[in-house]
Amino acid sequence: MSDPLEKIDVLVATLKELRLHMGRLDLRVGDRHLNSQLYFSLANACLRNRAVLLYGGMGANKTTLVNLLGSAFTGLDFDDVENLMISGHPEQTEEKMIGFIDPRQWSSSGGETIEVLWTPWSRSNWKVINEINRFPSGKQNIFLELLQKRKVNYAGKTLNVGDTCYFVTMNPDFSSTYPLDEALLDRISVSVPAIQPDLLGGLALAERDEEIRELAKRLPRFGADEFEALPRLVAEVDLDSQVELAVVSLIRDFTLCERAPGYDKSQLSGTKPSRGLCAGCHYFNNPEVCCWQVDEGLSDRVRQDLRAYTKSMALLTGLADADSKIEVLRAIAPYVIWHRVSPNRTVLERPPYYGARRLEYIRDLVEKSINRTLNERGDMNMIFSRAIDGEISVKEATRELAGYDDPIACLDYIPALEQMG
Amino acid sequence: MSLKGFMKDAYKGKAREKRRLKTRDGDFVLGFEDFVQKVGDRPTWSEVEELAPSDEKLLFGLIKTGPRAKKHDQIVWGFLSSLVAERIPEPLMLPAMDFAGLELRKGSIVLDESRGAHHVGEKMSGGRIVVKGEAGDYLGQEMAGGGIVAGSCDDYAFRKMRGGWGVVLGQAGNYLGLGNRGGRIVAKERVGSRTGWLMKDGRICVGGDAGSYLGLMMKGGRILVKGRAGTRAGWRMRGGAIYARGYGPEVGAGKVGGKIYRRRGP
Repeated sequence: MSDPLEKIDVLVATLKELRLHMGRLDLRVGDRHLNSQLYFSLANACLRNRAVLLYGGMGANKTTLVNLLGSAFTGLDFDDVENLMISGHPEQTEEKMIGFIDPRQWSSSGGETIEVLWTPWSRSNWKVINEINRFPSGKQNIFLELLQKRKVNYAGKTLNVGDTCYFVTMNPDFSSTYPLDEALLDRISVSVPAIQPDLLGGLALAERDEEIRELAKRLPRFGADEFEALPRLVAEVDLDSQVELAVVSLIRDFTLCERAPGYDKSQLSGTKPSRGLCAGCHYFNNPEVCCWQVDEGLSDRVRQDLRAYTKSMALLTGLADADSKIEVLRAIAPYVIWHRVSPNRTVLERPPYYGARRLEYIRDLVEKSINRTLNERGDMNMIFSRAIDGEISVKEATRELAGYDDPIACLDYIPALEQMG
Repeated sequence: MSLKGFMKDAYKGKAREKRRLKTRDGDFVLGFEDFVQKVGDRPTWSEVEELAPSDEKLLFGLIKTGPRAKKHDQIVWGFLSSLVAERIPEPLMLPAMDFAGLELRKGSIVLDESRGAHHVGEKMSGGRIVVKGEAGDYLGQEMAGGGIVAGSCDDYAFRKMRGGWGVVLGQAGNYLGLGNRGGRIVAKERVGSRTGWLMKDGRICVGGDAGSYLGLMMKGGRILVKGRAGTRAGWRMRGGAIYARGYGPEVGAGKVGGKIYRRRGP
């Protein structure tokens, strides 16, 4: 078995050489500039049971890229991978997507158990859901169940789909699209904008003179053992304490709310920051604080996704040393979070966001949170940890922490110490 | 690993000295609406000054935008207008709004196209305010210094004035200089009734006629009227002096002290 990581490098180079993907280098990880669409798809291919959403206008190479990667990683022909894919439209049925009852069993005498013929898509470990927002809301629930339980049900029969790579594509809102359910969005691990190629990319694409399906045959192919080895390689990447702390603090920065039940913003319904919840709050309008700038809190799935994609991206980029992993986290975290939250409209609609640059807004918030955790929160965290370990009294720690004007100190640490005391 | 060990590992012994979140420092405001929410129910100069952005452009942007229907918001806007006027070397040109130049200490404000803005220059202690057009009620109320020039004004202008000067180029309403303890006021045309009511010190000079009850119950200071005073001038006055070319009926009725003079000549 050859080194799968080397093979991924060859795959990236071949995609570029054959002019099969010419995206912008819009993802900066440390000092490396990468294409987010390609590298998040590759990172997802190295993981299992996580979903990446490619979001962008028509012709941005979303579906083709995923199918090309599918062809390379599963070893199937490009046409076969395309046939596996399901596409959204209002007449798409559960029978066409998941499976149907085998009609032959009614004519044969014998067993009373119902046999279900599962579709190739259901049985595949490379699942592509094309144009998910063209599925009506009711049919989107099928994917919610699939992403939640990792199994599909039909006519009382259950198919355990096993470890699978999920890829989803989505267009911006058109007249024929349906809004995506928040619960489904929360189960999508990463959302990546698929941007049209720039001028140089367009010129490079003009040099492509063969059909994509012909060029796809020249991509390197992964064997089943190589494809299966990728999640194991990701699992071997360790995250150090710095990254773990930054991840947890990031989640708490987005989730804590002084006025929410249990200080948990995910408990809110009806009232929320954008509807005046924060008026007069101590933290309101403080640009260093994230809580008032987004409506929703973050679930534990976000923590899992942040860890998984940090590991996977660190493996892919070779930035696996301790100092680089925090840079990887900085790079991937906005893509994990931005589709799950609604930013403050007042700030979003002003320059430099102009109401449209939601990802940039979330990137700035992530940057603030991580910087704050790595720098300003040092003393505060040490006081809390010393109190937890019994080195200083709870009373003393509470008094010290009360001097820190930080939501984590006030809403997480002090209540935790009060419960101990 | 203990939590302390985890934190030590996370910071690699580089835990910085504590720095706390700077809240309410006023360096980041989204607009006038956001700013007024940060100010308490009873805005004061010091509170607004503390919260105001240090960036002059941002500060100037605040007084250019934002609805000001509520009195609270008007007062905040008034403080901000004075802050901007203090910080810029040239005169601040503003559309006339209530409470413009509130507690102004230095600098100049020019209010354009005023059609009755109230409380202009209230409690000011320095600087200059020019009102191009009509000022409303309470012009220069409780002012202690500086100067105001207005085209005309309504009632209660320069009420409880302690210092500084005010010039009204046209007519003034009723109760001009009510309860004054100092300062100088010039109204070039007619003034309404009860000018100099309860006045204790300072000077009022009227270029035209004065209404009834001129210097009503005044205790000190001087009132000079180049035209005629109305009825009951100097009624129950206790001190000070009134000069006028002529007086209406019952002049000096109930007078306990002070002097009333009849001016002669031009």
